Amino acid sequence: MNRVVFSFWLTLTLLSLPTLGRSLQLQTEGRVLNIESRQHQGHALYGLTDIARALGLRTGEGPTGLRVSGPRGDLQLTDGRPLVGAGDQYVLLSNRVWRRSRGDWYVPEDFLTRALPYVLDRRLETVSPGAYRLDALPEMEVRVGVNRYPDHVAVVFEPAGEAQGRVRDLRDYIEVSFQDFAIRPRIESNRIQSEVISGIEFSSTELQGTFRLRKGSRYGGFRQYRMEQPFRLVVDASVSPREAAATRRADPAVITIDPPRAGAAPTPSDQPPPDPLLRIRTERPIFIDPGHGGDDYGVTTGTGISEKTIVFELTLRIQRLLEQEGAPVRLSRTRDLNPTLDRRSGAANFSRAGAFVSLHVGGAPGSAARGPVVYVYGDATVQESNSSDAGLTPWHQGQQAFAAESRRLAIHMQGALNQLFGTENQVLAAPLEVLAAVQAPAILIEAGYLTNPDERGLLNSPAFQDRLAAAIADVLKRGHAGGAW
Amino acid sequence: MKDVRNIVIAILLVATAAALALYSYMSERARQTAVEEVGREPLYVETEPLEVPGREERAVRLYFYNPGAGGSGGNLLMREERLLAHTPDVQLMARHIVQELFRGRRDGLRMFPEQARLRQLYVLDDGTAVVDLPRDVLNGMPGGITTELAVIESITRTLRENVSEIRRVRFLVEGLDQDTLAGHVSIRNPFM
Repeated sequence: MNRVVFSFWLTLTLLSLPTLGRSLQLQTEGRVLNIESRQHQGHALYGLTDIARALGLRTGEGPTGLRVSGPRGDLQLTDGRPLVGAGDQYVLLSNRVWRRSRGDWYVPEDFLTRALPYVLDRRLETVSPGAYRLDALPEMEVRVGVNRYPDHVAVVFEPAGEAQGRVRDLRDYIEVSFQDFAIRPRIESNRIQSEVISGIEFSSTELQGTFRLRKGSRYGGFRQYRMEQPFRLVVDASVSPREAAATRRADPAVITIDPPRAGAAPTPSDQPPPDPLLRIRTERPIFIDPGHGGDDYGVTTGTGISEKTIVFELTLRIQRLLEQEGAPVRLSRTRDLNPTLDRRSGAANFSRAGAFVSLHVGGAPGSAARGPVVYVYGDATVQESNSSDAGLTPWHQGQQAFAAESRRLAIHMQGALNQLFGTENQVLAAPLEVLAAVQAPAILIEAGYLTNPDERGLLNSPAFQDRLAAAIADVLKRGHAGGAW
Repeated sequence: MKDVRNIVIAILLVATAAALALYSYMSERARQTAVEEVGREPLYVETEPLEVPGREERAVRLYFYNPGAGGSGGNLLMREERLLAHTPDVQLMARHIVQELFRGRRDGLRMFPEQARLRQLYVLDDGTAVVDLPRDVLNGMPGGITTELAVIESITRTLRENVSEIRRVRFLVEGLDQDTLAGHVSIRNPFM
């Protein structure tokens, strides 16, 4: 009889093997919890309800998705998307989140390491593959005081106990952190009113928390020193003699693209005075998105010319021109693939793009439509959904904060392309999905109409593509101040 | 003899377990297929009953794509007035108007392919018209943002101007919510 039972057990085990994935192990407060996996579309996902219960998180499902609330904030999950909203940031997971039924959500394993640290008040450490441990982090108050002098600012950090402080010089700010403690900040005043340090912020993105001393327009450098009894860490930022001398020098961290003059289309050779509204940060890449790809040919013609091929060739030309000038460029696709629109905008945000340009060519009923059209996101006729009840910026409203810069870039681009095509087209606003979530100045260019026989010939000509690429790259390069590009 | 009996029982148990696993797999598969099939069901609306001779007529303003708009700058749409059979049924009237749009302009210029048919059109109590377009209609069009905007604005404006109960228009493709109409323009929110 034992053999019968054994055979039965063995059979059940063998049958269930293909449906089983690796379970996750969570070690917390002396308990070990196993989270079983569930296969969905070939991927192992893990029950969020189990994870939340194990970690003491609250979940609530609303019309925009699932909110996961922890002691340090909320996460916003959307069914079928790999992006998780965390405060003003988004976390890209390796797989999509899956809503099996109401309140029954599943997430990939890296949700634990990528998204949860934003809301947990404990440190999550990987013990071994698939096994994680939660450790409590002691809290410590850090008092921040500011001493302001005519040519320098001393910022004093005074932790309640002995702590190892770390100071890092980053491009826009000086970062001060204290390891092994969860900081409770007490900033006496962040209204410094200094051109050396323009403000003090506290970021709780990382569990420990970091202070950021934002560099002002006359910032020249800093030095740090420690004082004892009580222990204090001092960051002394000052104006450099060179910075002081160059009173009106442009900020080398930005390029400025100028607005066109009223009543006249801007031309590449006609550079209006700088306008601070559009600033493409030169340390950030220009993100170019060649539209369509893979089995999506875009606009096609009976002659075998397709939009996906033309825009990809054009993209490579623009990339070459920009990189020759030292500008970093990122592409949404480097071969004949068709990433989803969310993946394209997500990749741009992930690379912290300074500007986003989606390249397309147009199509319209009939053959009369002609000329380039530059689009920005937006349409007054569309009723936007309400913001999420979690107070987060929904993914598809990421572009809203950049509307003014996007329009300025678009006007400039439209002017340059009109000159090349001999048209007088205008910038248009439309609710274009690929632009909606981009957190940078973002435009979409339809570089002529493939349904127009004349423009079809032009767009298929390598010589014209060179001129078109040069016009687009020129706008993106324009305003170069400081020799960085 | 006992061994033989045990082996028979073991085989029966294995067969039962295998049958259960297979049943579970097949029922899940069938459920998923059923969901897909609902989306594919050809659920086209009919407007033929309206076209009865002698029925009361009313003038409607239809907005078609305007090829003279060029690349941009001009009006995307142009207007044509037509007489259509009238019905007090808002939903039926709205369907009839959109079918008329699909027929194209008097001069023969078509925005939609010749075989285009409306899948469904509902008018909700809050004034939202839900227009369900078949995928093959969109695939049969030239593509591009201008085309997508022309489809959306033509239907939205035509419905709003001719059916006072309609305040906004929401689009579905093949009966489902989609991110975009045909790859560019977001249809996540209704149009006004």
